[in-house]
Amino acid sequence: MDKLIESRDTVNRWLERFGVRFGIYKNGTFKEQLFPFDSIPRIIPAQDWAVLEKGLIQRVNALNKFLFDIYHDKNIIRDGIVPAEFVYSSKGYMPECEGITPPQQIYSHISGIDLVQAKDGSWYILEDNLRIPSGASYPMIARTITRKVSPETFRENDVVDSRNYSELLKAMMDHVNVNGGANVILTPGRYNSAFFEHSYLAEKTGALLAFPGDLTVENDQVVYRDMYNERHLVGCIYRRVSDEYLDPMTFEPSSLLGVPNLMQVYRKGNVALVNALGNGVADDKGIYYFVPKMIEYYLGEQPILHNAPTYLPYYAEDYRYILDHLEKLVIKDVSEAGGYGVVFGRDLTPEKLAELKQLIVDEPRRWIAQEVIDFKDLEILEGSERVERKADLRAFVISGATTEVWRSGLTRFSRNPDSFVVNSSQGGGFKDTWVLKN
Amino acid sequence: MRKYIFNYQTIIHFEQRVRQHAFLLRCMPCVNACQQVGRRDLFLYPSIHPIYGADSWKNPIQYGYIGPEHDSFVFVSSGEARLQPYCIPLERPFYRYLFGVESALTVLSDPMKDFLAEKRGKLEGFALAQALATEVYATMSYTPGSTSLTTTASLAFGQRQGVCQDYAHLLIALCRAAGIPARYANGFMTGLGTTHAWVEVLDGEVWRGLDPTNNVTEMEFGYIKIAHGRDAADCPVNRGIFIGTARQQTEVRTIVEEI
Repeated sequence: MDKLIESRDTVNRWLERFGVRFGIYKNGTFKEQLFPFDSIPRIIPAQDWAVLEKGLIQRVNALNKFLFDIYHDKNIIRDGIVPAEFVYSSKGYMPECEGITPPQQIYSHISGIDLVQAKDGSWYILEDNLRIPSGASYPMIARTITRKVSPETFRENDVVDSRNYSELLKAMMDHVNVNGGANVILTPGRYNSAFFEHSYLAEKTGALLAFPGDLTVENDQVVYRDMYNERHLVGCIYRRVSDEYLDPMTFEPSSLLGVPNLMQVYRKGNVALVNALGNGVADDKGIYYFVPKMIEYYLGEQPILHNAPTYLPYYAEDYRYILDHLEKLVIKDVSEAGGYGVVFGRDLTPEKLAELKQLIVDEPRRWIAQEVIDFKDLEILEGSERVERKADLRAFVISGATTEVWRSGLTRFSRNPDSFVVNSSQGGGFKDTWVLKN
Repeated sequence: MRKYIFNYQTIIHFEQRVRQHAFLLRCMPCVNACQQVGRRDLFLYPSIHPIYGADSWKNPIQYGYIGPEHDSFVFVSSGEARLQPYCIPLERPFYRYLFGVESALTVLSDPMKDFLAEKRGKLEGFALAQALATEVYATMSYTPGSTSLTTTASLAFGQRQGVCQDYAHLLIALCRAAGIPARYANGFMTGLGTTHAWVEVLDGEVWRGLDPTNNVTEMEFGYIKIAHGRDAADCPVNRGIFIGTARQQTEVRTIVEEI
């Protein structure tokens, strides 16, 4: 493995040549950045992975059942497990999706579940990403490159081959495809932060990469027009455009990224959308609190993986606890993502702390509070020195004919020694994630 | 029961020819407990067969795609409606929540909050909604052109001016703040005119109509409904997207007559 670790710079050069970048908008300008790769892998032993895998499948199955329930009978609300206002006041709840049954009843086809490992080795779920979780392409291509740069490392170590992500994705798209038409990846375009990923996944899954304007709705079907203006029937769209921009006739009218009247075709079951619309109601940071209850409610099972200890100001007891212990908690704005809207109480001045308290008093539904987990740090190379940094793991769960966990994942770390936030948009790096065979 | 014939037409002239035109219309009456529709027709120019469907509120929609270039777009919806006194049973229990919370165009501002506190008195429920409809009628002045399709209730209230859409938004916001679920409805009114917007508020298990623009607090006949939603953004009569310059002229005319 030493050979691999020494070849970090080589791997990064390859990544650069392949255009492995992500874009960020800062102060209104678009900038592309390399995503720094660290060559020391995160290693997960087989027995640990077995527990993770079981727990992730259980969680995603329950979340899919929750989404179906919310947009149909709403039993979980009627039975008092999740309060109605948490669902209907969630920004992610979309009344436009009421009564729509996605093909095969799958809502979250690709789930990105973020976990952290505590110092004692136990794993905690940080958040569920059920809308358009990104990031799988980075460990995919990094594995391909590291295998070339240091093939002996993979002969000498018993690492599960993770190069099957595109096969999982393709099999899932074929499973939900409604008419045998084309599978398409719909990208907002060149200036999207994850454009590299869109093009890479299209290439790897054999799907058509569609730009805005390539897709139209004609006679209640989605049609892809190629460069010769030939029309191809579309059966499944893995769309990397957010819900609110997906159909200007139903949502944001000024959107040019979407497909006009796509929603009507979808409602009639004439196209599959991956992931389904309206999933935001289940990965809302407020709904997160209820996921363990969902697992018991829908599956009749005890949750295998645990949430980080979470408090909802909505409940009187939690409300008091939060206000009394604000300085040791991490506070999250339920409507934000990407590491934005996350505040550590201990970092605040007394004035800022008082301001935050007032915000919680004014809008209790907007916030959740969590205990700060003592992360297990991972080693990274800084120069030629090994130092420890905070890291998390995004596991990718694919729901098609069955629910499967990709035997790898995106391990992100913070390059700043004092930071707990690992999001790539906040300047973090990534590692390969090795799952061992034995 | 009363019978009406209706004819609603919109003619859009584009300054230059447009193409790849996708449209979604809500221009045909819906069917509910107090509204049956007999004969109904939709005429489109350029001539294509529209596809019929329903949105998530079960409002009838008509949509399609016109690929070739065209210089105008015309739709004419006509037919015959039979009305019972305005009263619609609550369709689904959770609508109570959905139509009870703020929507983008009906956010409550502080001046609106004060207005509600000042006017609500000891009234509650539907009686309060009726009183609020009269208050909205009294405080607002009907001024065509003073607002746009995306004007919020709070903006219209601030200038005390607006059209039927703004009157409806303001009443909806006040009702919701008072704990009364309320929703936006649009359609045709008896006589010669354009489309009209009013409000439905939940009274126990039924929706009743209120028309703050005309100070109608006991709505019975004469309102043919097309659609309802959280606010106007949920029920536009015509949404379209096409390639070409956006400069256009629109003529709208509605004729409704009792027969």
